[in-house]
Amino acid sequence: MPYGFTGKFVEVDLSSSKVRVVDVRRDLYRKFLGGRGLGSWILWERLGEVWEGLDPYSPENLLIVLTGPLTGYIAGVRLAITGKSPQSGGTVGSTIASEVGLELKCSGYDGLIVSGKAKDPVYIFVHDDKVEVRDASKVWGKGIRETHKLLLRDVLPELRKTPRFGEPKEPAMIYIGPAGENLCRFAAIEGKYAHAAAYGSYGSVMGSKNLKAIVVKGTGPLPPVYDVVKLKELIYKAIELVPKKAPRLRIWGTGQGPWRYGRDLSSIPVRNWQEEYWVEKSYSQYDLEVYDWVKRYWADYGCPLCCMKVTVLHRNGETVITDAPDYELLAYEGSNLDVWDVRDIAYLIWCGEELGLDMINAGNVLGFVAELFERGILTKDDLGFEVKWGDVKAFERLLKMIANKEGIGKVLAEGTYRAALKIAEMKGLKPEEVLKYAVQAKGIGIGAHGIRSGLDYPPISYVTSVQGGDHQSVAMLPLDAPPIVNEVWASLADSAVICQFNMLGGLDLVFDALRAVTGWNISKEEWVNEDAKRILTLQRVLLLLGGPDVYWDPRVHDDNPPRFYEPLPSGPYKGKAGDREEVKKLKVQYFSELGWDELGIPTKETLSRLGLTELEPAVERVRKRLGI
Amino acid sequence: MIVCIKFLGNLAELLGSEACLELNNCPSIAEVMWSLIKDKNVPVVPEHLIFLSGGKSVSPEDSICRFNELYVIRTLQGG
Repeated sequence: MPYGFTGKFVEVDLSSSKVRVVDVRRDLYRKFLGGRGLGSWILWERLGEVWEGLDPYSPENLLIVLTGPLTGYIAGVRLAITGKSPQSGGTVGSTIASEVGLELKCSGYDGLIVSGKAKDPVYIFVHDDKVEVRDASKVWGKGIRETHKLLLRDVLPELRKTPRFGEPKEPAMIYIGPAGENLCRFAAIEGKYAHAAAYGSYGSVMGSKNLKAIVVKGTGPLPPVYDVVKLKELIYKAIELVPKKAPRLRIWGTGQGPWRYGRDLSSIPVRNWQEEYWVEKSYSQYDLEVYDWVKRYWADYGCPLCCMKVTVLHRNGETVITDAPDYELLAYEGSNLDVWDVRDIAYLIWCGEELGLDMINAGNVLGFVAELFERGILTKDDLGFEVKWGDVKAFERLLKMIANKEGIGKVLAEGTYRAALKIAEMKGLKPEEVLKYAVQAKGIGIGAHGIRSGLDYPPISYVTSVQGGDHQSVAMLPLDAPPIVNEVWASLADSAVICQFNMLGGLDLVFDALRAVTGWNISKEEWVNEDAKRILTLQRVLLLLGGPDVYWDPRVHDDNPPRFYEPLPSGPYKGKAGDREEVKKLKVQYFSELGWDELGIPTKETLSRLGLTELEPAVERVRKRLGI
Repeated sequence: MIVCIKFLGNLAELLGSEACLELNNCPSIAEVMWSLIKDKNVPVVPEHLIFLSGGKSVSPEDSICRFNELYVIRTLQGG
């Protein structure tokens, strides 16, 4: 078995409650590493032939929870989750800061594959070689905080039956809230109260399987590594270097972002992206410090950066313990909704997370609704109440209706893209008359980074990304462009399964660590030209297969949301807008760099060169559907 | 042989500055710690305790007689 891996996955079929341990082919680890890459391959191998017809909410879909070669070794632990996405119809490597990955590896597994559907609510408990499907009826319907507490109460006494000095017994866990249970198409998988694997909506995939949570405790060692001395050296280097390279992240987290993206770069969403600039009204992490909410730096396992902060706030009679809002959520529950008081923003985030919602996509939907209300497309009769900009109570009410699929919430729970189509139908409008207010890509609400000013994300970021609107994995030219959100590097972080912020210490650090753990001598060039292309090509094919309710046509859907072609109405970059001709040109260039044709369909030569010839029939199916 | 443990911080306020046990043989660190925790009703979770000597971590299974001085550290859980 390659160094750094256990070589085994544990597979749980919830329909039969059967558990089996499966070996993973050695060559697949080198080809796809783990996490996003390996998960996509497993999905292809098992479901590729029926992909287009497969309902992501059917028992046949898989929920795959994966570690990667660097999980547990290098600073900042993460976990990757994938499956057929109910949002994009493709795959998303959705990651969360969670010790579940570490505990899985210490239990002897590189990942967990969940198939089938349980008759009644269950959770999966993994404790070394003991893997059980357990009753979760008492936590079904509960918010994430109560779920966390009740599950701990359930398993801790059992784990503490054999206490040992220096061996913490608290398990790691991930879980869903009511939004996931009710199959809201932007339900997240949550952990530790405030962390989320959001993009992809795998929370709703868990809900479709009646799976409330996954609880893991491993007591074994991590798998042996190739060069332990070098690895130790690199761990100390990362601990020293990463906080030095990103001192503001250590002090403020990404929550210091609104200053930069709103005022300096004109790329923050304001009122559903009608504007991207603000200056007179300020809000950011600094304000959180002013209110003395930040109680402690919050580090996930091994993390020297501590960009999260434990925060306590009091609102509406509730004492809320959460993490201080990060940039994306400050933007989406703040400026995007015309909410400018950080206490209101933090409260809205807390409400949504408690329900198990992806709060980027939730903010995207809420802004969309407020604009439709402003324009008279949605009315008080449709919504049951008025939804005006800045109305925190109305937004809170909508979040609950969405998570519980009540009233208009049933339509909005489909996410901005599908909701736009349904609202157009309801109102007797042409789809494009509503879609022009939907700021999304491939069914996924885009992250809080605009393209119009030309100072933040490049024009094709979301257009050609294999993960739609995911702001942490976007398309860039040249292929090896340095930003860590470039999908070439994001696919590395998500497949090695580490926090992207490790890359702030330099890409060499990550490649050196990969070498020290696995013994594989992967160079940056090799990653860009082979490994990343292999993973992105595989994801692209699955995205184009799509279905069963929505199919993407590259001629139509490989594009920015219409709003990005409207000139910015304010700020120093007033008048700037996306340029359709430039996007077309860059898109073709990007496809060409990846070895895809002008529509972004991988060529036979590329599939062959990347060792993906098995995908040829799937590519033919895509061509046939598109009539080309 | 007498083994004494000095408490610092909150534990000292709660339990006094020192507690001693008389031993007949050379038990493991773990055995001694269990006795101390139980006898003195020390409010700690054993899993959060690690042991250091000379700046290096020490196994709880090691004999207590191997050490002149041992630091018992209560680790804080992250996350």
